[in-house]
Amino acid sequence: MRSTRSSFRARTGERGYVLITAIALAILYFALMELMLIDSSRALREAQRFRSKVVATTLAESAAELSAASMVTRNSGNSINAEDEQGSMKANCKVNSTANASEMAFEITADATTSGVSPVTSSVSVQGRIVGQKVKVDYTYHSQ
Amino acid sequence: MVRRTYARGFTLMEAVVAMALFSVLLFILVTLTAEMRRNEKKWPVNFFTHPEVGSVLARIRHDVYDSTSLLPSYDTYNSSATTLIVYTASVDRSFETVVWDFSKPGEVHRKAYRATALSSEWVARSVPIFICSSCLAPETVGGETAVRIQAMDKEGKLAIDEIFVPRPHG
Repeated sequence: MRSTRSSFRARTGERGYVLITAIALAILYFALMELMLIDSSRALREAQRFRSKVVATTLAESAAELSAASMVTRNSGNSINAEDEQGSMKANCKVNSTANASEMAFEITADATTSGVSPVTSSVSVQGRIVGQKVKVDYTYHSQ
Repeated sequence: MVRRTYARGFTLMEAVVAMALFSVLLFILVTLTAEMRRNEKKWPVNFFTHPEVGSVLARIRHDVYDSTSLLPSYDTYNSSATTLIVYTASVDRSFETVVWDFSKPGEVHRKAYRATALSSEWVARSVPIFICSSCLAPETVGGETAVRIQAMDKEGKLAIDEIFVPRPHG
């Protein structure tokens, strides 16, 4: 048949070139896919680490806020120790009297550790004063 | 002895079916590749492909959160859209003056000074163009002074827009 004569390789000198080209292209394409999979795995690990850092910082700050919830009304802080699927957090708030009778000094220390495949620990320390009903934060120290 | 003769080559129908199947395969590959490319370009900044961008934001956040004051000038630097100057607590709880220099496109420099001496310098490269928009027009959140950091990607599209509020306050 005239229309399929070009496929009749027995009479041509170009045996198997198309097949070799197709195999080479397939190998190159799958190599590209493999490289993309490797890069995706790396990006996934970065994403997990990024998320853990954000969650750890947020948990530590939440713990610090919770421990300070009643330090103005009761002149004493709370100890917080909680855990959920995001991770665990703990905080301690100390309120002490100062030389100035109208002021109380406070210090909050909070730590948080995320759960999951890449656990990250974060800590926050807050130092300040309570003047009447107003809270003044003098220094904060974030681990990250 | 019967000798069979086979027609060599392919029939038109075989060639058409093979081409059709190969076209389907090619269509799938092209569609998948185009979809991956589209997804890759979807976000102005891919934080997971460029971890340095995330590092810049994390360090700025840390410096601003623990800062006790935002300085208008320090050494040869003046606070501007490309320069953020903060007096902040370092990891060892000692205080230092930190200058964030965004003046060189694609680079971010963090210079820490202790007692007027340069104590450390950290550089991030291949990052979007950062600006400190609150350094030009001061912004407040809940009555507290805030630091607003923005970044544009190569096409001028807003890629990052974050507001940080220093924790210490009077």
